[in-house]
Amino acid sequence: MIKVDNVSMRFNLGNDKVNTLKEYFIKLVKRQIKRDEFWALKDISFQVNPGEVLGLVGINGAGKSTLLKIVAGVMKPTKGSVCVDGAVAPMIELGAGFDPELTAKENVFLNGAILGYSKKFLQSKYDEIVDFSELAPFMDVSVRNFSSGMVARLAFSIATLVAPDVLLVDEILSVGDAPFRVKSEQKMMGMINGGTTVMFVSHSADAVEKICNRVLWVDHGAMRQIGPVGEVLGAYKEFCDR
Amino acid sequence: MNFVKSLKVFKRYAYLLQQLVARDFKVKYKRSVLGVLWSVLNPLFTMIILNVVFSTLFGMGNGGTYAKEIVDYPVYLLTGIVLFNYFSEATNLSLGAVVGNFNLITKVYMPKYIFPFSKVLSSALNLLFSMVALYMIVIVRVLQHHVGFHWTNVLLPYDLICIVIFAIGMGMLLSALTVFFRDMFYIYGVVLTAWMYLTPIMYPIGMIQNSKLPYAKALLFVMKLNPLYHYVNYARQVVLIGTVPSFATHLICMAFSLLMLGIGILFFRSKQDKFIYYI
Repeated sequence: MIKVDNVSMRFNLGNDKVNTLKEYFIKLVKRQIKRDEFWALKDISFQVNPGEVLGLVGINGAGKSTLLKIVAGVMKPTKGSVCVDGAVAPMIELGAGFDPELTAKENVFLNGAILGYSKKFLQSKYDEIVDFSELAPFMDVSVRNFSSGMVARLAFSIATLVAPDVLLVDEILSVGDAPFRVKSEQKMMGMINGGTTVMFVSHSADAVEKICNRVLWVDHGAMRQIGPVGEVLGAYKEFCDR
Repeated sequence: MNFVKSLKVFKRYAYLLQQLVARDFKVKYKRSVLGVLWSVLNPLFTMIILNVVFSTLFGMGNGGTYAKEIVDYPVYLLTGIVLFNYFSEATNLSLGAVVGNFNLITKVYMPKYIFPFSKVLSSALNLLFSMVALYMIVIVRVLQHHVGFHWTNVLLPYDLICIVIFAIGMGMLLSALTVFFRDMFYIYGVVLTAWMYLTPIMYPIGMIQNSKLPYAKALLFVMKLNPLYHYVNYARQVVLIGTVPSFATHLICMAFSLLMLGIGILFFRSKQDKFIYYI
């Protein structure tokens, strides 16, 4: 279950960020220390029940990914609170922390550790990762020499190792070439349909329609509408076409 | 309650810590012919060069007014340098550890202190290799009858543990500060240079005690507030002179370490949620 209560998130916009002492003093003297505030999220509240799949739609920069990151625990909200029950698997960015100098095998363990898996667990699942990614002949090659498709396959295979209680997906349903796309999409669907609680960000109305039970439309950081898939998607589509 | 939770998180990410240290080590010597051997050769060559420069060019040798304190100049110099270089490397690397891993920090949850921590530990691994090089030189000097080999060497690990804890605290403080003020990258370089000369690495302490400078007393006082002074002294007592440092010395060394660790943890913890605003 995911429970989001009155969450607001404030960023200080880049141009007013003070990064050096000199800048700080100059701006202090010039009385320019004002905060150019930007509220990426404003007063968001909703709940995702166990086993439910909530779709998130909205235009670029609406705050969808920020919301996912807050639920994932990467960011703390400026105001409000988030409560998540169970193990969270964020599929926000695949292959975060891959080191190009290391071999694929070494990266499996490094990336797995970054995702919080134990050594024992990774060792027991290693063959499964290699099998799924179909990269067996290249496991001792530096990732630097991999094509981007190969990197995506490897990352996907590590990220989808466990069946988590809560799955956060940002636009990643499938990766790689056509045959691998089918396989990876099947795996994703298997995870989603297996009773997992899911938050799913996508710009593809088809995908949202296919897998979500409910949809939340976020616009300029605020909740525009939440409700049944057809209703919210219809309103969002109308808004986009306008 | 909170403490137990933090311990649990740490336990979960201990493997990540191990992976990050291993990564630093593997990447460092990738594609070099001699590989790991450089970990010993590098400090060994540096030591030999420093030794030649200071002993011959600057005329700092055995004998003279400070013979009793120095015992054997090469060993005196190198114990100081090995420890200071460790501290300098560990803190310099952890200074940029949070800033350098922003792309990870904004995407995946993990305890953020793991980045400066891993850098201090990677450097500690290098310190062990430098120790091998140091002892190679010590053994040569022992065989040449310039210095004795004392049983007190077994106490050295205590000193190393103290300095590692001190570096962890310092690393956490610096890595968090750097997020807010990138000037730290440049300021700290200067600080380290001053710090090096405030630590009796190349010169004997007696030189300052006997100095006629009007501010010599103040300088000596400042020096004793410098934790590295105590760590370096400890190492020299057990390696060079062969006496067991006093109980008070043990306490002072550990107190400095734990104090710095406490400051580092408190500062880091109070600031870590604000990091993402300063990307």
